[in-house]
Amino acid sequence: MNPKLTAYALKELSAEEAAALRAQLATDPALNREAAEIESFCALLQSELSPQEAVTLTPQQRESVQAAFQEPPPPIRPAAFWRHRALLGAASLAACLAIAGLLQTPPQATRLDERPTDPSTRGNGPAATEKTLGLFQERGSQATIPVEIASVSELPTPGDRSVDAPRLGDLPRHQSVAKMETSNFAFRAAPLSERRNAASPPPDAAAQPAGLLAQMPEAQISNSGGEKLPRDLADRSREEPAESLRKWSIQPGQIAASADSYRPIEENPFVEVAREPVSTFSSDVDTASYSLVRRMLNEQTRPHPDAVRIEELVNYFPYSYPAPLDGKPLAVQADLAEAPWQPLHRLARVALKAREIPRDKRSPANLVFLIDVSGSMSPADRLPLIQQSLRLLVEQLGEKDRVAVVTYAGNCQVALESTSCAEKERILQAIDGLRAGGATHGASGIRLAYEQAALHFKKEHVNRVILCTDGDFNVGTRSVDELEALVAEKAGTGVFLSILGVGTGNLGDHRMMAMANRGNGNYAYLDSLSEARKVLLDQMTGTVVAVAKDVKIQVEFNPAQVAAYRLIGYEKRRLEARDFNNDQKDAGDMGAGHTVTALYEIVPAKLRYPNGRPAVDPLKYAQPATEPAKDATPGTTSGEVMTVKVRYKLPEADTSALLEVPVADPGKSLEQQGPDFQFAAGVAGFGMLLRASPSAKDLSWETVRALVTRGKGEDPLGYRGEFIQLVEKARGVSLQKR
Amino acid sequence: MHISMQEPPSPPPDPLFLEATLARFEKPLLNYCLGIVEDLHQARDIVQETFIKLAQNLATVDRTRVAPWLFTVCRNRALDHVRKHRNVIPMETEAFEHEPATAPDPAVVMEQRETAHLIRHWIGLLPEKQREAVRLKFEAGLSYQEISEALQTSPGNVGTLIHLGVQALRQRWAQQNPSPRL
Repeated sequence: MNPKLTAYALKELSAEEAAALRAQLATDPALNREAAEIESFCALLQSELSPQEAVTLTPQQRESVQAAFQEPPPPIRPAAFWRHRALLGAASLAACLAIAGLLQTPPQATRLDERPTDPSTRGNGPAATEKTLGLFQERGSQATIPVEIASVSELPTPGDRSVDAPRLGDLPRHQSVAKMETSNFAFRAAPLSERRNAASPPPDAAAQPAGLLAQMPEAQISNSGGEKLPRDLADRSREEPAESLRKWSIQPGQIAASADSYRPIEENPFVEVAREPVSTFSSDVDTASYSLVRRMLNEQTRPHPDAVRIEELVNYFPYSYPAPLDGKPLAVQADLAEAPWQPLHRLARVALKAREIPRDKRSPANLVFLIDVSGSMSPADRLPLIQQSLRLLVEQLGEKDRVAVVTYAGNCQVALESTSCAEKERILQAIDGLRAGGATHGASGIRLAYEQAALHFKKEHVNRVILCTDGDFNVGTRSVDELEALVAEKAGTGVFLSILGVGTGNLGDHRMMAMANRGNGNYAYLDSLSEARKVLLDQMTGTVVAVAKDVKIQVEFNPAQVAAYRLIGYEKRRLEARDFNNDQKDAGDMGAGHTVTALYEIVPAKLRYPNGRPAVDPLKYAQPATEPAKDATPGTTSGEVMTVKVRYKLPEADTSALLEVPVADPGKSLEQQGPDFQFAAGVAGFGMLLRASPSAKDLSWETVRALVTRGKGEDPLGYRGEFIQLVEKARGVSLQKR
Repeated sequence: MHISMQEPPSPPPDPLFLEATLARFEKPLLNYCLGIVEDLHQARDIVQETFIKLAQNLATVDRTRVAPWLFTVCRNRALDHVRKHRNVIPMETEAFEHEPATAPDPAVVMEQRETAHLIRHWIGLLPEKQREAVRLKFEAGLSYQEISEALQTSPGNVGTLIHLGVQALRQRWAQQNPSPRL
């Protein structure tokens, strides 16, 4: 009787031991038979005893558990004097006096030094103290703290506490916020005492409701940590504590300026149809901008305008557009309603819907997870989140699917050879075994991942590299172009690239987006496990299976009906008109079930000019084209507002197919067009307000909220409900600015 | 500059880690607990308590060893419950086999219970250590390493316990299955 046989059957032997045992089994038929029996019996036990679907906590229980997750842990034991409640008051008073002196000397080093050892300034309760220190230790224990600012950046900012988005609660804070803090190093000693009065919770912190409890200590930490406090603090301190904390928790209305790199967006202007009757752009199913914006708003930070890509906000949400008929991969529809921010203008919606593929009908997937395990990935919202996310994905895969894991840091390696999902345990173990450390060399990792994908490449399968990273390619090839060229070349061979972005601070947003585009893939930003669930599970077949590639949209406007138009968003997706028919020109892809929505703001011909004055004076020499063309047949095309043309390729095709939809405007209102249109218009308005778009002058947050509330519809997955809350937060952040 | 620490701090609430832990262990833990208390409502309550306790004790829990921690806490609570409600302290095999109330006639068991219940019944008859190891392996899906930490023994010993347990179960299976005496 050999325990090794059982261990072998349960895959508990190390690779060497297993190999040695296999060699032994090969020469010993009796032992081999025994091993086979044990293996099949263990499989029986595993299948009979493993958890069943229905065996879960009740939803109420899960909620109460999750509520407990939001509470700061109670003190371990009154070991240190400052954890002792009785002593705390005295200590905090003393230290408060001490810190009042310190606060007037702003150098950062001082602040850092004092922070961990002056718990009493935030000394409202043991939890507060421990929280700061805990964060410090977490940072500190990660071998190095490169510069002071890096560690400051991880200090909590209270914003995410005071909002109703629990799962975001403990992500490491946005670096930008910390930078703002350090740069605006205006301490004011006086408000300290007021603040303490305003927010000191009852002595028994445990008796506090979870939300309130969670908010208080951090707000205090942050404030004592050097945030500029508004002058009218005293007034605010009279408000309900949580409310007042929320208000001065963050530099109000500050725009996040951080190491996150965003390419500037220059908003599409109104274009006169007479000059440019055709508008061309690439489809886009990326949604990363929404997660980024959500993260910042949940931190009570005003998102950087260049992080707000309106098309990605709009496309984040599922819409119930009609599915394509007669076996086509795409369906196109277009309609119009009034523009909520300028009722004289019309809002044209172009809606694309990709064919749905039931999960069990999809082609087998040949996936390679390319995972960044550099040192920057170690925080909980990076590698650990990626690991959890990939677990979710792998658990959904079937036996025909294959998964390989390649990691890269200082050097890259194959952590798991391409493995059939019949051996899920092995895949999951490989994912769980990943640890972060070292520098990043993105390019060579990508090459290795493509090699793995090529090993099991089958043209009819879904071949995809899924890059999981914070986008910090800080060693070796820095050239975006070089990486993109590689990715585009591989996409040409049939291996596509999707990107899951995580983390804050050195998130190379534009680089990731560019790479996913070149790789015929999509780019999603994961800020939480629930976002991973959306990206990888709810839309898994979409993330994995492309049904149409190089989807381009061209809209031709009828000058008889339209004076000028403005494409809302898609600034980075604009194409030249001639690119539309050029099959060599790359464009966005659509996965199974994806929807793409594009909105145009249209100035009807009878209005002539968007702002009462033409952007360019009327042409003196050219034929004015704002009158209906003389040879147009009345009644057939002259009533049309526009024609929407869509070009796409089937995933394995090289030549494109064309869909063409003429669009008339029967003059319907948003109300009549139904919830999806209203909601999309509301999301676009939200983006315009956040971007401080010149077109949003007459748009209010109330209008946006009314639109999205009316457009909420059934919202089975709860995305729209979450967005409505986000509108409130955005309004709060932007009102404070004024 | 490095930050010097004087006091061992406790970390802040960490919903992300806890959510991930919940997602990973909810079902295994519940399944495991169910194996002990044999009552879904009780098992749910115990697992709920276990996760809340984890949240409260996060400061002192080694996050790389969260599985052993969870299963140890859960087992202790489950056994407490069983003790209270059965007035029988589950001990060694013999105690169970001579307990008429909890061990109905095998033939009845065979007829009435499905394979899973049958196997669970046999697991209940294993010596305590083997029983625990087998449950943690098959009901909870832990690795030998994790089991060794939960049971505070060596991984090698876990291998032996599981091997012995599996062999015993196999024997019963072999006895019952080729020639079932119904």
